[in-house]
Amino acid sequence: MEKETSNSLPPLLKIENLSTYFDTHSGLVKAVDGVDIKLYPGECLGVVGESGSGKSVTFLSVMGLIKKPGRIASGTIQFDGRELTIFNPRQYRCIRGKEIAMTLQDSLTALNPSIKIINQISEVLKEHDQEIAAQGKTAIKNRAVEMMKLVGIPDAENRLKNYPHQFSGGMRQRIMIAIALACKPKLLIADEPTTALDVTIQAQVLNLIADIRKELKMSVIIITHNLGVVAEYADRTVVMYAGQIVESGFTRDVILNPRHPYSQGLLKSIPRLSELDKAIHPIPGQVSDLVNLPAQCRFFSRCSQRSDECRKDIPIRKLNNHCEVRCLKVEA
Amino acid sequence: MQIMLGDQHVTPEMEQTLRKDMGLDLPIQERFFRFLYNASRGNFGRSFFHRRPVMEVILERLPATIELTLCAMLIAIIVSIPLGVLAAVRKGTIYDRTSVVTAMVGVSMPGFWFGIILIILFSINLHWLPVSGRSTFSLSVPSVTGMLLIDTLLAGRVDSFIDAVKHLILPTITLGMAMGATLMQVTRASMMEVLKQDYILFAEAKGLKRRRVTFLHALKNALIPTVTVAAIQTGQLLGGNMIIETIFGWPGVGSLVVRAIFNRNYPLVQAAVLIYVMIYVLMNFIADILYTVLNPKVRI
Amino acid sequence: MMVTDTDPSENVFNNNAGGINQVEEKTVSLFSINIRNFLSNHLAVFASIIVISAIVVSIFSPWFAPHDPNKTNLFLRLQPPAWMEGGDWRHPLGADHLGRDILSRIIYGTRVSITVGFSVIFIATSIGILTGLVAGYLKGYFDIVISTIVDILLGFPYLIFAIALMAAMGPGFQNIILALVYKEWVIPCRVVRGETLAIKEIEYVEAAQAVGASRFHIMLREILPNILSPVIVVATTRMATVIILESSLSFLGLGVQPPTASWGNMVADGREFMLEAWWVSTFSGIAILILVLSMNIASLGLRDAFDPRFSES
Repeated sequence: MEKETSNSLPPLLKIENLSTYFDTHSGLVKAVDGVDIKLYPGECLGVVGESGSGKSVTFLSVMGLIKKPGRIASGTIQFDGRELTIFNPRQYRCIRGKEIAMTLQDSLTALNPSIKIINQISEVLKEHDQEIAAQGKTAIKNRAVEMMKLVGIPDAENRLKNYPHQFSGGMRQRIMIAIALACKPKLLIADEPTTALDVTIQAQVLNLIADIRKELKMSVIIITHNLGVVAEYADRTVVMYAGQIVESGFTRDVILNPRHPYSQGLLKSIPRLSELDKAIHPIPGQVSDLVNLPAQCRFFSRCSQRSDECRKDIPIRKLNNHCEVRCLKVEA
Repeated sequence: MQIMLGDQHVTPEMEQTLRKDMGLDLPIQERFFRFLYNASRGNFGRSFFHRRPVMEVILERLPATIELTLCAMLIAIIVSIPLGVLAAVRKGTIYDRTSVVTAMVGVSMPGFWFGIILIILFSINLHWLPVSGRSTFSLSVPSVTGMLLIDTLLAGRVDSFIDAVKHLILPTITLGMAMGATLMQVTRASMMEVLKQDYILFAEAKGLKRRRVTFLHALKNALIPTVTVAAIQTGQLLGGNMIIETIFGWPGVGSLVVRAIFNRNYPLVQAAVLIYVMIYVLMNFIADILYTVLNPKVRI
Repeated sequence: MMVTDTDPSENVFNNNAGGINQVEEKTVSLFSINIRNFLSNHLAVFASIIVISAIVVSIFSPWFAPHDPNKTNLFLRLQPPAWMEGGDWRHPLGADHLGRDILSRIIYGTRVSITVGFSVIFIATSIGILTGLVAGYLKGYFDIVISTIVDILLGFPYLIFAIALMAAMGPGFQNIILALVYKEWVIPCRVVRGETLAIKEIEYVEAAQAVGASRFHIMLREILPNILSPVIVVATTRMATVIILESSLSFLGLGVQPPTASWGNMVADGREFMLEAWWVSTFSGIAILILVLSMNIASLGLRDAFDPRFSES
């Protein structure tokens, strides 16, 4: 499912040196610290990392959904030629749902339990799609049914008046996707789209996203901690750790030949069916406290390849045209 | 028996008759069942003091209490829910702090004292509002529903209406204050909880207008506990009613009961307690129903 | 005194399961952080000082009060407060209709409010903890009986219940405490029962059972220390309500009888003289307001200190 992206087109989303900090009681948390990401039109980007790596916060920053005590401390976010960090709330509301859409991890909590599904879909249409809105209630309802059918909800017409809790987890996730795609956005950010689902449903949902992506020629960002998801669906992959990008490149390169010790550790820790008798190798230690970060490689305490020269801030280096790594131990 | 009759001079014959009449000569289980039987037929016995059936006396004064309670409820809801929402939405700002402080003071204030302070301020010092009572005799109108606000309008007498309103203001504020303070706290807490939820984030991610998110998405869920509490509180207002009615000379059931207690008017107190409990149970029941209606998760 | 002491027998359980150890440690350290958290909340500390002062005043009233609260002096009848015309600083808050010094009466009135408040809460909470533990831990028959009583009692509006009881028992200091306790114990009972039910399932209780500890021991040493914090918070909040209830009952004349001063009956006394002497009612009510408000603020601070999750920065 990989595609070579054409670098001839300018990137749809260009994040440069983004830093998002949180002023908490315990101190300043640098959730995202100097992140650079480029996403090209029609591409699927995988963002991998564990909890606390900053992957969700990065894209909440893109959406302008960071609230107190968080703030975007520095950096630029360019979307489709526009600079988002200087947007006011009204401008943000114009692009959210319409040009950039986001789905959340837990479909049960993400859908309002007191509002019928039909209304949760139609309100996006009414807000952003003037054409449909002008055509009246029936047209809106028909489009909603269309979206529900698109994501594969059976008996869509009748189920429109149901409430979220009346659907199963997999269907709710699909409804979220239906809502997100109702206005045919240019970019879909899917935050952990499969984490709360059974394995069988996971594949269905991901295939759905892939199909729709092909049909609408949409760009997709999949945020996940599951390498398997990324391996199968993402063109390029970015690995994040403790608020920084530690490795990025074509998915096949990152998966088959990881360079950063963290990425290597991630791959080694996946239990394989073919090696059931072998020991599991988790990465030792835990993510360091994001409040008092010493000036050294953030993976230092867990890295098997560390040495004294790693005790300073490590910059990210380009290995070749498509690969970047944040590690001193990797040769170009 | 002695407690009830107090200091009145009683002959043994009178006492015998009274005992028989009140069924005090029967064993206690029988008395209880007799009470229930009579009660279910609406017969609570005769009030000592008024020499009329107790039920009649109570029902006569019921509309006054209902009018006061409803007005207090209304004012409390109209004032405190928006304040609670505002405090939650503008968390941490001056609106929030002021509302929280006001609510705390409102909850900490003894109702009877607040009423008296209001009287001292507005009636005695400023002469804006009447000291007590429900209406001025000269402005009375024929009684249709028993509720002055409605009756005066029905009779077309604007001056009587204004008079009734003037008499209502202070008691309503006093009674509504306690309920309003609690309601504001509940609304604020509930709203803050709701605003933290994922579905609010998702609604914002959809690019919806802020007003829609606050009122349709957030408030709809936040009101569920608020409404439930409001219903229960209304049932509890009846307790507060007694004191407030006494202070303001409001001719309702509450002041009647207080007097009855002091006059050792046993049957009347019994009847009133039963009615209060019934209303309390009814309000709790309504609260349960409201909760089921408002919360789709529970409905089906 | 730490809430969770280190009982040597407990260590035996703890060593067998590392996870349990962590839970125990968390409870111990949480208690000390609580105090620090609380102290950083300046408003709550200030409020607590007021409450403590009230307690001190109630104990040492004779030392604080400038005059005998019950000494009547008809020459001073309805004398205004010191800053108004006709008043003087020997009676800073004025005098009531019998010429008694209001300030002294307020000071002595503190005794009534504080004593009733603490007594009722202490007794009610003790009963509540006992019944709640029994209902929550032993369940079955005990639970049904206790819960039914709780539900019935909850169904009665508070004031009416109290007034009815007082009317039956007669007024007076001890009767007020009894009347209030009758309804009040229900609330800590409900809290304790809920917490017990929740905690019952956690490992260390099962571990204790596995080692054969008696049910009584479990209730007392394992469960109780860990449900204490919500109970304390509820108790302090309820104390404020109880004080208002006591003053309401006193206002109606069902509390301590004259000539003893209580804030409630002082407000009632002043009612007759609203027109000419507003100060008789006003100041005692302010005393109630200040004490109750301080208790509410202090208990809120306490709650935040115990469980920072609920605090709003």
